Amino acid sequence: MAAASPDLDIRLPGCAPGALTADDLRAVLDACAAFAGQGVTVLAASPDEPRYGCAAEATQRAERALRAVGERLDPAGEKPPRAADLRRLRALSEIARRHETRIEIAPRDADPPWISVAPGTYGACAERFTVTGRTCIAGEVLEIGGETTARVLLRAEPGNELVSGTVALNEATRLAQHLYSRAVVDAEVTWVRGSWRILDLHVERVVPYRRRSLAEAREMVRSMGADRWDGLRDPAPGAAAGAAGG
Amino acid sequence: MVFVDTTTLLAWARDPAAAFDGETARRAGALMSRLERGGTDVAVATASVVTFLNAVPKQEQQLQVAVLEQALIIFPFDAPAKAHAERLYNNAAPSLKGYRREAEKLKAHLRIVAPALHRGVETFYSPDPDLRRLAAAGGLATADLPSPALSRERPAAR
Repeated sequence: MAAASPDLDIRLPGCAPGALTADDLRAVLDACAAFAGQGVTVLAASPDEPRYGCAAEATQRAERALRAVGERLDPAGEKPPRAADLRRLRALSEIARRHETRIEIAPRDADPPWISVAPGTYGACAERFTVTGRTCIAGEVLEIGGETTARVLLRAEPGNELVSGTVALNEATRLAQHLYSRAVVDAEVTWVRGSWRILDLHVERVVPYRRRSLAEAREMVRSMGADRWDGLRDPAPGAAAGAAGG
Repeated sequence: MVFVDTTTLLAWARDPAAAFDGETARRAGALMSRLERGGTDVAVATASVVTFLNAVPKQEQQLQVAVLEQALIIFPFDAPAKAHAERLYNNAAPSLKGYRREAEKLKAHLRIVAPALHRGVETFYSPDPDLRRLAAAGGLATADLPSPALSRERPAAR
């Protein structure tokens, strides 16, 4: 149940009152609620400045959660943020950039804010806490589509982590054939350091992997030259560049 | 999903009758047949595939990879795997007898074990006891290659 009076503010200093679109406001409120770990309701909107007085369902718990998230979203902080919080931070930084402002989540009529998001905050956090590279992912394709950009939602193995991202247009149709089934893909992935949760991915290629095709593959690779191993010993581990026995 | 090491991959490709180590080839063949029958995903490290390609004519290598990736999931030594390798090197590897004197071997083995660690595979198969010890030190369940006669039995964990 929401409190009767506002206990936290969402502020956008320097932004013209009423400049925030309904979509932007919804995104800010969704992020605030997710950071607080509970529902957040707007009780009062100031007509003179972009400030929204809000109430959380459980004020003290919300305050603790918002403080903790604020520390983790500090680009100079020690602990890496959670992947989900980084995604929300990206959305907030984008809104801050569009409106040339900061988004502050603060105690009612008080400073300093628990969370302050400037246009460059996500970039600074991403530089410090994420790493990007190529990898191979196996997982179930849950959603795929999009008119101008093909997007995909995967349940990645192991751990059933839900990851979303884009798909190279020339591979989208092929990946769509795996909808609600399993696919193996080569992708460029951005991970959160430490937890190695996937923040973002771009599927570059659908790997034509099929279970139960080992015997067939063995015959093919042998016929194409792998039968040379019949007369060769295993190389010693680390004996040649890229070679790794064992 | 299970993981196999380089020796298993090479032995699987060999003809047990012609190979200098026909016993390992037979055991690798028995393991792969059992995994195929059970519909188990078999994964390998990119490092193992690179070694596999050493004996293959250059003009055939791309095609070989295309065939291998239809049957095996090939996991690279990516950023999370590097982090796992670093942690294993710092925490567990120094206590593994023998590895201190064989830095190159340890590095090569880490490139095989670390992708498996990141994926949290069900079992790591290798006939090499050192490699199994390293994988077990990282927390993986390990198993030797089964003998063909026992190929229908379940693998021993760790």
